[in-house]
Amino acid sequence: MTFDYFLVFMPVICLIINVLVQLLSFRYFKQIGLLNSIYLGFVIGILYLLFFTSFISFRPEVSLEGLSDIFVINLIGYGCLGYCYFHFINLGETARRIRILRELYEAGDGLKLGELLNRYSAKEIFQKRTNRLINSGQIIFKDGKYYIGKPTVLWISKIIIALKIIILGKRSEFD
Amino acid sequence: MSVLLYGIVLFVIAFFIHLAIWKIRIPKNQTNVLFLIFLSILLVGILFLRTSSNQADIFARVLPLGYLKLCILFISLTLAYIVTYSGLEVDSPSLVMVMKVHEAGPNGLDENMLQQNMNDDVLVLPRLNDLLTAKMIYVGNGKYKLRATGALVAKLFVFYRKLLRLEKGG
Repeated sequence: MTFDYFLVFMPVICLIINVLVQLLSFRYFKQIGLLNSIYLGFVIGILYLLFFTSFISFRPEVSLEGLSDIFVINLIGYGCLGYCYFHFINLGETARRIRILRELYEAGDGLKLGELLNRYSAKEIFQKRTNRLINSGQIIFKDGKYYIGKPTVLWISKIIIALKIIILGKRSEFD
Repeated sequence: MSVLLYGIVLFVIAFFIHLAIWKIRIPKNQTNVLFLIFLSILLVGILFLRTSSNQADIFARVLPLGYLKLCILFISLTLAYIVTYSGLEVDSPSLVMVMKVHEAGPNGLDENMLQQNMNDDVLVLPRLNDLLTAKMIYVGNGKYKLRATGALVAKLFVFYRKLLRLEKGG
């Protein structure tokens, strides 16, 4: 019975391994960078998934068909959970709502609008975002003008806009 | 029907029901309604499976603890979708900026033009209103203050970013 539960919870176990590897690698080998530590954790989680699956293949009650089913289901489950973890870290890094909650939490007794905007404003958001985009090569700043660099974020933007049109029926929240 | 196929079919059904509801009217608290739709479909799917004995037999044979497996698969897919959806709900400033630069074409976009409209009314105040709608914060004595859920979320992120030794994000 314990083995059956192990099979079922394998994606969750691999996610825990992923999180631990990401945390420890980033904490103790800072030069690795945040994004690379996330990739590393994710890949190690997949390797453990493969290892656990090959381990259970030795059990007589598991057929080849059952084994491939188990692997695919666990891989999808783990992939989704790993993707959620990536977003969780990304929220702490870029989400404005989380930053506002943090500012209010640190202020203790709440903040007036002016006080909040002194701590976190559009100016800071703009500067941080342009720096990030320039540093990652997504946009290029030359002679007072911005140009498209690598097309990755541009493609993501196009996909997001297409999904917005399909699901929300508009291109922007301000439409 | 295997757990994988059944899980994906249920997810697709839930997705189309959500799409149909959104076409009629987009709810105020979108994430909560999404959770409700997807979990209801999972529940209905499991009940259907239980009442249809033939399918349940095949289901149980494919995997031990098949129902629990189905729940984990479906919930993983749902969480991944909801996380993606949160990126659709609001405009990401980075994505808006990249689109503006792209739309300017090969001549590039002037620095001041990019900064145009990137003010507090567009970047900060709508997010404050989101937090009010989600009942994570409230206004008391002219100040924005945290509710219990907002404080919990803030604590979680403060704790995790300390663990990673990271500074404030945003």
